[in-house]
Amino acid sequence: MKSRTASKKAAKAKHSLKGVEGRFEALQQAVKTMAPELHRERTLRPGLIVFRAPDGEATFALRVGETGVRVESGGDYGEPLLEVRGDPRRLQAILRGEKDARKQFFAGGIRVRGDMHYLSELGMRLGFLKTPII
Amino acid sequence: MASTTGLVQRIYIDANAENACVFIGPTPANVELLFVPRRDTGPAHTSAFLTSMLDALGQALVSQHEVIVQYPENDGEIYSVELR
Repeated sequence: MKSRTASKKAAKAKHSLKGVEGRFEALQQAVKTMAPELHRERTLRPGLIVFRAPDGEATFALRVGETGVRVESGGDYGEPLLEVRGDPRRLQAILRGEKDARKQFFAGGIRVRGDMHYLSELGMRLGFLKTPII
Repeated sequence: MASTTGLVQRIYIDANAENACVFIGPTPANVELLFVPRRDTGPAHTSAFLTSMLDALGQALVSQHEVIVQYPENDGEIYSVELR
């Protein structure tokens, strides 16, 4: 009985992990889609923007160069200009401008590190901030 | 539990005055974005504690003292401040 409960728990955890990974891939795809336009209009600065799932294990980075942008998965990226950590579904809704970034941040579950001027510029351009944070 | 050590680069109160946003890090261009809630609900001693944490962060900002702040792994809500 005990082992059945344990295996049920393990299966549930595996399923939940798979769910996070799926949502993370969707976020990665959304970033990949919007990045080229932001690069063309020079909103993106050369450097890295790293996205992390809440467990910190699933990651991907948007690497911005002088000539183009690239999305990289996993690995060690070096010091990013911005690092965002949180539930991929919520992050995706913020990027799409469907949810207010301030409210989501203060509600908890999201961490941000790096250059807040840059974040503010991106937020104003993408519409997830109504007023600059700096 | 996560922690950040650095200078308090900036503090501001958000538009609806429910939270104080705190930027902590070595330089203004490299900070962790954190916050201290300013709750009127709940026990008086909790509000007093949050206010005194914010006072400490304000003093660290003015005097350029380094601080160590602690917060949950997946959250930016500060629950402890240490002045160095």
